[in-house]
Amino acid sequence: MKLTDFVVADAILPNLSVDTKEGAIRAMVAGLKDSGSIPAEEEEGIVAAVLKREELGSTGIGNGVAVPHTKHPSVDRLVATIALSKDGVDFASLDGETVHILFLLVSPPDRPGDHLRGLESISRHLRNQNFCNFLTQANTSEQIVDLLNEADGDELE
Amino acid sequence: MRVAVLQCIVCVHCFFGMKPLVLAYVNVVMHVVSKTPVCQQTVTVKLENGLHLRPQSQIAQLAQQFDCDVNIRVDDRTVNAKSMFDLMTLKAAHGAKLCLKANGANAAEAIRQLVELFESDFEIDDSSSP
Repeated sequence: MKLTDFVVADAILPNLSVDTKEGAIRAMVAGLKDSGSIPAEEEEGIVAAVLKREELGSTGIGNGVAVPHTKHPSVDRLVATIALSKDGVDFASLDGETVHILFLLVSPPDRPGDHLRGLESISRHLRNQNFCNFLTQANTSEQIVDLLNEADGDELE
Repeated sequence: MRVAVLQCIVCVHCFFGMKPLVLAYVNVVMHVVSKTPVCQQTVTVKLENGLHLRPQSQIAQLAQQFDCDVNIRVDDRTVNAKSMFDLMTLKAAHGAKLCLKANGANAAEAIRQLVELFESDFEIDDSSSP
């Protein structure tokens, strides 16, 4: 699965200005709502579901990355957004470090395979140090979308 | 559980050969080093949603408690079980068969605890969020 198959370009937040987990999740879900990827009336329910998932264990997986997510019946395909934080977000990560790269995923409950393929795509590219470096250096949504396209096309070293 | 102890091919010289003392000492050291156990076992993913982030996190945290190398192989891919970024690339769906392999100190115990984790279904109610 390609990153551009499920990351919604219009929902990307290149300069996240909040420093709390809840603030970051709210901003990212709002981004998906504003892009029309989730119904406006479901925004609060999706925020609550993502926060509930975080109570089961942080999705801050280390190396400054978090992957908050939830299943939700209001979507019929996997949708995701990216947020970047220069100052870092306290995400209670596994390694105790603050988070600078966030991928938030919302997937249909009946398609767990898509969720796994989305995670695989994200982690496969995050293992590429060039991808991480270019991503954290990006300042605009356009730069991030260009990077996602390059990553999908295996154009990064 | 299958435990293979690699045998030192020169250890026989320690006991039956008339080697000089220094060489015998080297052989004994090699014998001890070569007794590094390798342990592996195949498990099946029973979680309805497959091996998602929560069980992956439990695997990484458990594997990190051991000094030995711990790998997971699915099909033709092998990943480091101590790395979340590696584990996330597994894409192991419900029913997938994974080969757990440990190499080094306490390898058998590492595999025993990992198998126990899989058999407990990670104590996850998979009807909830992944």
